[in-house]
Amino acid sequence: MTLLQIENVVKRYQQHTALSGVSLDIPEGQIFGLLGPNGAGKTSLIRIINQITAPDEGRVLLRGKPLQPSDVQRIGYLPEERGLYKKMKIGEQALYLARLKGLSSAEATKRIKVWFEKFELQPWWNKKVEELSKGMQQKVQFICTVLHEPELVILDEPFSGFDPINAELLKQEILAMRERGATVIFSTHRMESVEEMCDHIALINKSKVVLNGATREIKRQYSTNTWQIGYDGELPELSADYQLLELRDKGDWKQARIQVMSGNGSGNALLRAVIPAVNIHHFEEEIPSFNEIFIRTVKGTQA
Amino acid sequence: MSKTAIIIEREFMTRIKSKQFIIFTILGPILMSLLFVIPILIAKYSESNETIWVDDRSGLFTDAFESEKGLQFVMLSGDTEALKDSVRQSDNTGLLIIPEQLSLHQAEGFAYYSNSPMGNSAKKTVERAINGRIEALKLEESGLSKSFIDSLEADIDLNTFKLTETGGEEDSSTGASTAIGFIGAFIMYLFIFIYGMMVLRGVVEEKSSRVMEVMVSSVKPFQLMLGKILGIAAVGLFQFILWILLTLGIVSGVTAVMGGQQSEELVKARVEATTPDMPAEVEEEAAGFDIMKELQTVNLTFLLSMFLFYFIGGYLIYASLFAAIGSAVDNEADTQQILFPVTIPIILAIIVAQMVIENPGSSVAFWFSMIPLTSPIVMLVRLPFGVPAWEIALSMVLVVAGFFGTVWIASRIYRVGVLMYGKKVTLKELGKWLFYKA
Repeated sequence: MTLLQIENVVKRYQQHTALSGVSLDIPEGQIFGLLGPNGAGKTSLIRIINQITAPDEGRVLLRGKPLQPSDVQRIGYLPEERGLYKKMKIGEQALYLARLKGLSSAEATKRIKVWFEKFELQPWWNKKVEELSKGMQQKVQFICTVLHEPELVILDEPFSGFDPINAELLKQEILAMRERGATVIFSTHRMESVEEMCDHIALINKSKVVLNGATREIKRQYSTNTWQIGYDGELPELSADYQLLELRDKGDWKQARIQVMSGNGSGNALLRAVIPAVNIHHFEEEIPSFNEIFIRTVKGTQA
Repeated sequence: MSKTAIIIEREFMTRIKSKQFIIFTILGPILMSLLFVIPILIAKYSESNETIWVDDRSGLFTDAFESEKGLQFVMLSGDTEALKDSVRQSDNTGLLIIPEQLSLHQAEGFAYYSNSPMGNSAKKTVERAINGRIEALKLEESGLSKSFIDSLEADIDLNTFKLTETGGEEDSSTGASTAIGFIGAFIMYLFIFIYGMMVLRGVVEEKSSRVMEVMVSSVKPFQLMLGKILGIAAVGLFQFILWILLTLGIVSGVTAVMGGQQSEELVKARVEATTPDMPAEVEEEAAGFDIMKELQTVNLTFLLSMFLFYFIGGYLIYASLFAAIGSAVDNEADTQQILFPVTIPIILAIIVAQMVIENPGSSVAFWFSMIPLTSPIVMLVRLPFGVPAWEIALSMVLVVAGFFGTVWIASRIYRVGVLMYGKKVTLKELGKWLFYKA
């Protein structure tokens, strides 16, 4: 089920084109990673989804209907450039932003209490934003993003400024949001959090979508069918279907990287071929990390 | 509750709860009251006791000097150096020496010695006394009697009437009109500047603290701008009402304490104190008139409602321009240069207002009371002198049109500016933003 359809969106500025014909389907109830180098057009796309700016061409559909101004209440947005009113008390601030998203004062106050409890901010209710540490400001900002329980949450670099403990807390909250059925668009440069959390990614480079799909699919697509074997003993002579890429002597054991070169070979066949000759410690497929995929794709599209 | 209303509420509440607001709201009336009360207090207590020794060697000025409150004349004679020595040893004493040989037609050689410089009023008193005596002596010499000369003197007071279109005539009193018009214009000028800048700072704060992007993902930039402008207008009006009430309270309290006799003095002093920028003759005129009676000739209800209209119109026009400027810069330091084109019309209006007082019917007065950027100030100055109904109507329509025009321009700039960072903005650039697609 698709929550958000982005159809052929074009956005031009005076000097350059930020988005040229971007189409994406964002599936419901998943964590969608929006990746790309700096200046690729991610922020432009996010701003269009938030109706901060309008596309020059194309359209965005939410559950099959073009975005309406009232849809901002169904979206929560955490911009990369964080900011709150410095002189406002954090409780009042959260209440203000929640009311602008359509919550009543009473309902908002109730929810803010729950969230402040959860993030250990309750004692700080009457403190001004400027009196808080950076990490605490980030927590307040995150709470403001999700208070109105949006169906679609857009997080731009959500982990920046969080210590590992709070980053973990935040990660659990994001996963919990998915459990509740919310869709999360997650834009980041930190590939390890993409590995951990995303169900689906799209990579934008130079204003175009260059890679788009479910994470597992993409991993398979980028797999080089290379296997790593840890063993002791001597490897047997292998057929032309396999190529030994690297062999490392680790003292009392060895490690080999072997790539399957043709359709006749496979991981299973390779394992069968080596079992009689050596004592195997481990055997695993080399799966490309998103870091590698990112670099390879971006460099590939630049060439 | 609409989003704009929520924004207005925040802008209003956060400001009136701020320390700055509370301090200024209390301090303002105290300062204003001091402005009223101090001149009276000064007049009351600053009278020093000065003594002037007069050594009239000519013998012509025996009865010329009359002692008055705070200034004593003592006639004596003696050696110049000895007298100077005594002056040196006593406080608040001066020595006036009138030369022995004095020609009435070329009177000179008067000398005054004292430890401290002679006060202005004492100097005037002395000069007046000497001149008066010399004139009298000259008259005597010419053979004309003083009473004859007095009978020649005329003292008229011009009663001014303005012919109305209905064929009647109105008592038009220039003194009070000028005062009311100018005070109104000046208050307007301050209001536009103080609260316009407050709007500008508010927008810059939202930009520099980067809360803007969160805000525009919840509300339209236009709602945000309008909410801020209206919220701050409410702050201004609220502060204003508090000021008037508190000032009236303090002044009437002081008046009651000082007793009824002084209250007339108070009114006079108040008018003098609040019209510091007026030409001297106007000031004298205003002070000399029976002010209460004169105020009745000006239609106060009409003036007040006009004042309110131009007040709100002028503020809204400038506040939206200030908001646009705030949106175009990254921090307050950058505002100065780009603020210039907006402040010129306000300053121009104040300058023109002073010309308008001199000649309220001139074509300069007409045109500047039509242009929406200057009319809120200039028209206010003109109004007490009487302005044809069609001119008022046209000017009001133009203010409303001007408001919609500036809000349109401002919202176009604002919507682009709020998300634009790190760009040094020129006027040309702002012009381009007007035609960007949203």
